[in-house]
Amino acid sequence: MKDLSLHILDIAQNCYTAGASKVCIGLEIKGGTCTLMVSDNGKGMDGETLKMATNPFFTTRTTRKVGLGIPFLKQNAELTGGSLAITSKPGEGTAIKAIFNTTSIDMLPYGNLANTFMLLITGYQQVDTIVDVSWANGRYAISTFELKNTLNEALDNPGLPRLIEEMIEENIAASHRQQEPGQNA
Amino acid sequence: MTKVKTLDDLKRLREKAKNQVSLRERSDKANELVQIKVAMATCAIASGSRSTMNFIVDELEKRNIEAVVTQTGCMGYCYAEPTVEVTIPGKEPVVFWLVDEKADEIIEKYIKSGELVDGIIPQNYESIN
Repeated sequence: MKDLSLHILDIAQNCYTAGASKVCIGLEIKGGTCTLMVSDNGKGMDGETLKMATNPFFTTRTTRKVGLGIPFLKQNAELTGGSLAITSKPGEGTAIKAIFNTTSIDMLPYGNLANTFMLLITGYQQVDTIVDVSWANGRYAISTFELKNTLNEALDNPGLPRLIEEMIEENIAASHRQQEPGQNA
Repeated sequence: MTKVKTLDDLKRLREKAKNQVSLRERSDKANELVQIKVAMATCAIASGSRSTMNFIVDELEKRNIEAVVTQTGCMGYCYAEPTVEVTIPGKEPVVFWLVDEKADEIIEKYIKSGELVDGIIPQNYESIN
């Protein structure tokens, strides 16, 4: 995975597969640390499954015997001197927290966050995906339901996804005026 | 063109668009529309399926083709990612592999005229929903 936005796109898929109706994606970048939190209210994992979640040779899918999404995220976080923690409760949901040290030479670029958020919001319209990005000096939050309530139309109608992406991109850029995306904090 | 910054900007732009074109509720006609499923699992994302998805969405809009584009999980073809499954109403689903700019050809030939394109994975699989 070349950048953080691709990791987010990947890990969030697990939430939708778990049958969540609400997915919260939080990205906090300040003081040399980048914290990514992805939580959902899906079916959760029991103790045994949770222990195996970071094992690359464990997966719940039937098409292959490896599941690399979480292990890759863990590896990339740990390479920067960070960490990954998962908590989960069957029937209630799961939360993943990945901490990155942005001053590390191995820190991933952020990538195209706006595109990832747009794809998740417009790709799963029945789920309320709540995105919250905060930097040292600014914050931006947007959610699926907020968009649906304002616009009263299908979020994947022709032309709309790109406009949503543009709006998210403008706001993310404005909320961190003092930093360029991809640069170490 | 001024950039879209706030929800209000977005709303106003869409209001204008709605007056010009009637945007039908596509979920009503889901069964009559071409269904395109782009794999979005770890293997797919690492191989560039995000740009494939963006490309397809943009191209469909440019050519004014109505289709339902969704993200799907691993179909088992990790070595062939990015993969795209196209279901034309009335026909069997067809899975294409190593789709990058080939998406252009897929849209132009397969979706528009039903002509099969190179790079199809044979049908001995089950579609994952």
